[in-house]
Amino acid sequence: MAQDTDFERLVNLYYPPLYRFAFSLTRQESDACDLTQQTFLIWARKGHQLNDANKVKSWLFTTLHREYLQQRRKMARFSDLEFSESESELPEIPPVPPGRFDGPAVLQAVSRLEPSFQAPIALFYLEDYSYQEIAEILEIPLGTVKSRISRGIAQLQNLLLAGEPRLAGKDCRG
Amino acid sequence: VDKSEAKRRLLSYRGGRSENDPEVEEALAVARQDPELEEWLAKQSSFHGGISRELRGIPVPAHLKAAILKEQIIIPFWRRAEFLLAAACLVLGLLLSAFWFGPAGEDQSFAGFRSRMVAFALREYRMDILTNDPAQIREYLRTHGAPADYSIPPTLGTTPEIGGARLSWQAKPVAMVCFKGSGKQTSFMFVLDQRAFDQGPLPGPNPERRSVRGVMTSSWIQDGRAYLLFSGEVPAPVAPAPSR
Repeated sequence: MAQDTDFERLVNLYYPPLYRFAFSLTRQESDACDLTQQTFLIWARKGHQLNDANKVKSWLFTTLHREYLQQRRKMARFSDLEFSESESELPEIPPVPPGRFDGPAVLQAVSRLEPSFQAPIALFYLEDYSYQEIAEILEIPLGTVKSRISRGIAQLQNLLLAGEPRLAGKDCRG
Repeated sequence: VDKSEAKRRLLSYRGGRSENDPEVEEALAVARQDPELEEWLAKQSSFHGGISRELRGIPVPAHLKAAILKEQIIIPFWRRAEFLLAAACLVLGLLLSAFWFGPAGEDQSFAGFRSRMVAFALREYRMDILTNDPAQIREYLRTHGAPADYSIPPTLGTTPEIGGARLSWQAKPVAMVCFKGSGKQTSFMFVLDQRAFDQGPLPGPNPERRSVRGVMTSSWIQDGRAYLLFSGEVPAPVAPAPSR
């Protein structure tokens, strides 16, 4: 019973930020719901293995991100998507950042970022995590996080300034 | 540090947080003495704030919390079943089926069906019957209440069948027939009664192509049956039944 209460408290605390993180990665409500549910399902099975109670939130984010990557790898077998890291230099920084934008434009622009930039950028803006925390959640080196966030921000600004970004994929919500 | 280098270092600077990075501290010192750079930094800060607000404003579906908590019910069963492995497999299988094909809160349109079936194949699918004999697959589906009067589309030509399963979606029986494609490809055909869809548009008699979760699908209606067809390289099916 106490276990149920703990679980519910955890869900109350973290399901909204986890869903938003999932949605910023997938841009599809059903996929984001699936990922969030799957994350808590894994917590219910394996959460007791976590010794440090202060790391529950980052554990959940890490788990959700792992699940997302796993699903994308599977999907990659169905399509020609490339997930290799871009070696491009920092894109040109616009002289002035975009001043006005709305939610849909931001989501479209985030979805058009290079895949490796999407998760760091989402965590950077959604959760105000430090670089170190983002590195731990995404299980990548600190320097890589810094570089991806800088490049991601420059790319995001250029996309928003370019006007309406093209949709990266068609929304499948019936 | 020139202006352009300072901008590069400060691009991700969130006011008051230098992340203990001496390079950022140095660039901040430059910005404090350069009004133009200072103004640029203020605009950057406003940009970061705006993006944060938009992303934090993503609405969360009302049904999600209940759906997560409902899944928690699974856990006590699962844990107790550590001592009854065989029973656990059965329970888990049933619960997973409920998870993938459960009716609660799910989009009941054809688009919802299509999305769910693609997800099923992408993750872990199972076959109830594993055989190259089309008649056996059809008979299995018929005796298990799934649509068995389906027509194989000409695009599949002589592609050999490899098995099938009786699935359920929104409590309606679904026939799944699997075909051996070229290389490691598997083709999946799902068939169910078109009356199963209470809402949303249905495909027409001519195959309608639509990309779902990165998979190109084809769907159509024929003789009162809704068909969904797609191909891909997928993991081996979960616990296939032996050939019959």
